[in-house]
This record gives sequence, structure tokens and C-alpha cells, in this order.
Amino acid sequence: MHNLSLVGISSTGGGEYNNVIIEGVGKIKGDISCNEIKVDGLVTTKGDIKCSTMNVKGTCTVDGSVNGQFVKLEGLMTVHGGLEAEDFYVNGSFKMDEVLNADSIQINFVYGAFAKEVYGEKISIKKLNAEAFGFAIDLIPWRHKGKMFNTSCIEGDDIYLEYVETDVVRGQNVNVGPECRIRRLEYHETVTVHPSAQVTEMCKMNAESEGDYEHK
Amino acid sequence: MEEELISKKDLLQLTGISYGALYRWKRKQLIPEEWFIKKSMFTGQETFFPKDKILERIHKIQEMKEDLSLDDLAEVFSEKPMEIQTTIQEMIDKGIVTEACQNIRGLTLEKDIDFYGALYIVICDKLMSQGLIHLTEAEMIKEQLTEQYRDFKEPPIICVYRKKGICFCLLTTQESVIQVDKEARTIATVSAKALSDDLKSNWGRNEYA
Repeated sequence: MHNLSLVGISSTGGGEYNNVIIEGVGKIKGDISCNEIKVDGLVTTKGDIKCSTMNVKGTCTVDGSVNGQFVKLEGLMTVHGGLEAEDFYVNGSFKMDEVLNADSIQINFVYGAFAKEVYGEKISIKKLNAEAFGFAIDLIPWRHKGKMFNTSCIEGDDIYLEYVETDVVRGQNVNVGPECRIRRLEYHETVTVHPSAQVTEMCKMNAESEGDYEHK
Repeated sequence: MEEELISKKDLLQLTGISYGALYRWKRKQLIPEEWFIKKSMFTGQETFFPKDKILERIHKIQEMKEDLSLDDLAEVFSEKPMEIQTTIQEMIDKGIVTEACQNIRGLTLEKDIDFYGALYIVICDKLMSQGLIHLTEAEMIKEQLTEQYRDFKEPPIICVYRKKGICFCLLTTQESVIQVDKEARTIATVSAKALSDDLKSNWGRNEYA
């Protein structure tokens, strides 16, 4: 299969490729499926992205959804559909209007970030130290508002959270770090809550309720 | 009738799977999106599943994931037919059908049997090896399946009756009720869905073994 590289200001209709490299300002006007996609700069996609590896340095806007195995983001991303991946690694900020579903989710966010729901096995959401970044971030004209990671629901097995504002967290082992605001937390095994975090409701899902269910 | 629902919490405890596994399976499309039913509860939003369907599916996944990779499993559960091209000899070699099928008229000459073709043979083979029908009747049923099977959106139920020694076959759907003559004896009802799933998993197992 062919490789595609967009350098400078250019656009493509999409299609199937082996490796895709976009440097500069690129526009993808349809669905694209490829082995590896690498973005350095700014890219706008009208359709879905299907790939095994996605590497974004810069700004990326996707109108459809993203489906990949390894997705790495260093910069800003807006996805209007959902994102599905095995590994999702973020150093930056993103906004996702649909569900984020990945095995391992590692997010280090600056400013605010948003996802409708977050599902995964290992989830770690941390805030990058803004002071070290502050100056550089102020230069970015487009940025996500707020200071928290906003979502309505987080579910996973091992969860670590920082600066997260959410309705519900459900997990096996939950570790709530500083400045989290959680309305309801359900855990199966262990939980730790940082003193500066606010958890309104907390309950342990114990194994006994399993037995009860079967008798009903 | 409304389906009985099971909440995600109960499901995970009942089956012993983790959140990670559930979402991985969803991502791989082993569990269809429509089964995730969202409802608002006093505890926030909760997800429910149709109980019988999801329990059966998870049981199957757990059983088969030893032999098959998740991608192969996705193919087993998808509604779409597998892309296969085979001959009767290959099917016998793979142990999917018995040698008795060889004698079905014209079959040894057919070169590219597709998934549906293979499924019809599997159905005939199952009926024959149970001693319910004989060869000519199998030929008749195969012909009927070839003509009518694809008219059904969902895999049909195959009912075989015998009246005064004469065998006849009806294709029907799960919901529809059929009444046959008092004298007609039901000799077999076969769910094409189950056989099609079996065929898919057997085929996958052979391919990657």
C-alpha cells in the first residue's frame, strides 16, 4: 500500500494507506485508514480515523471517531466522535464528545480536558504541573477552558485520579488524588482518598450482594 | 414481553469478569452496542444488559477465548457470514462434516462452496447423522435451503416433518407460530443460528490451531 505525506498546506480526500505523515497544516476530507499516522502541526479530519498507531504532536480535530491500537497525543485534540484504542497516552489536553474506551489510559493534562465517559482497565489521570508550562500554554490561542478534567463517568479496574470532576467513579482499586470532585464513588476492593478531594458518596460493593442477587 | 435486565454491577460479580475485560470485548465488538442500555438511577447513570443474552454471550466468550483470539471471536459473533471458500473434501478433512455428505448429488463437483453453502451441508449432515432423514431427503432440504435461506433476515429455524412416510421441511422464524397437520410428526427442529455459530467457531479453531 502507498504512503502518504502532506507537507506544508495541503489536503487529501482520505483513503487507505500504509504510513501517513502530515507536517504543517493538513486537511483530510474523508475517512482514512492506515497503519501509522503521524501528525506534526495542525490537522483537521472530516471523517473517521482507523489506524494501528497514531502519533499527534500539535493540534488535531477529528469530526468522526478514532479507532486505533496505540494513540499518543502531545498537544491538543478535539474528537467529536469517540476514541477506542488499546493504549491511549496523552500529554496535553483534549475534548471528546463521545466515549473514551481503551485498555490502558494515561493522561497528563494541562488546563481543562473533557471526555463524555471514560472506560478502561488501567486509568491514570494526572494534572501536569502548570507552572512549568504556564507561559507556553498562554501562547496557544485555542485552549480548553477550565482547570479540571470533566467527565460524567469513569469505570475501570485500577484508577488513579487528580483534578477530576465527575459524577460517578466505579472501579476495583480506586485511588483518588488531590482536588478531585466526585459525587459518587463505588469500589470493589481498595480505596484511598486524598484529604483535598471531595467525595460526596462512597460505597463498597461487597461480594455478598452477589449471593442475594441469585435468590431474587 | 419485556426482557429481564441485569445491571452491570451484578453482571460483573456474577461472571467474575473485570471492567477492563468487559470494555475490551465491547471494543472488539464481541458485545453489541445495543445491549448497553443506559438508565438514570438515583445513584447516577447505570448500564443494564438483557440478562439471558449477555450471560450466554459471556459464557461463550470465556469458553472459546482459550482457542481463539479476540478478533476471531468477533467474527464468530458478527452477523455477517465468514468469507470462506472450500470444497466438500476440505470440510470432511477438517472434521466439520461426516463422510456421508460426500454422496449428496453434485457436491463433489462444486469447487467454491461459500459460507452459506457450507452451512447447508452442515445442516443436512446433522440431520443425516442423527438418522432422521436419508440421502434423497437431505438433497431435497439442501435444495430448499439454497433457494429460500437468504430470504430470511435472521437465521431461520428449520423444522422437518414427516407425514405418512413423506418428509417435508419448513423454514420459519423464532417468533412465528406454525400449526401442522395432526398426522404430521415433527422429526427435527434445528436452529440455523446455533449451527452457524458452531461452524464459525469450528472453522476458526481449525484455521488457527
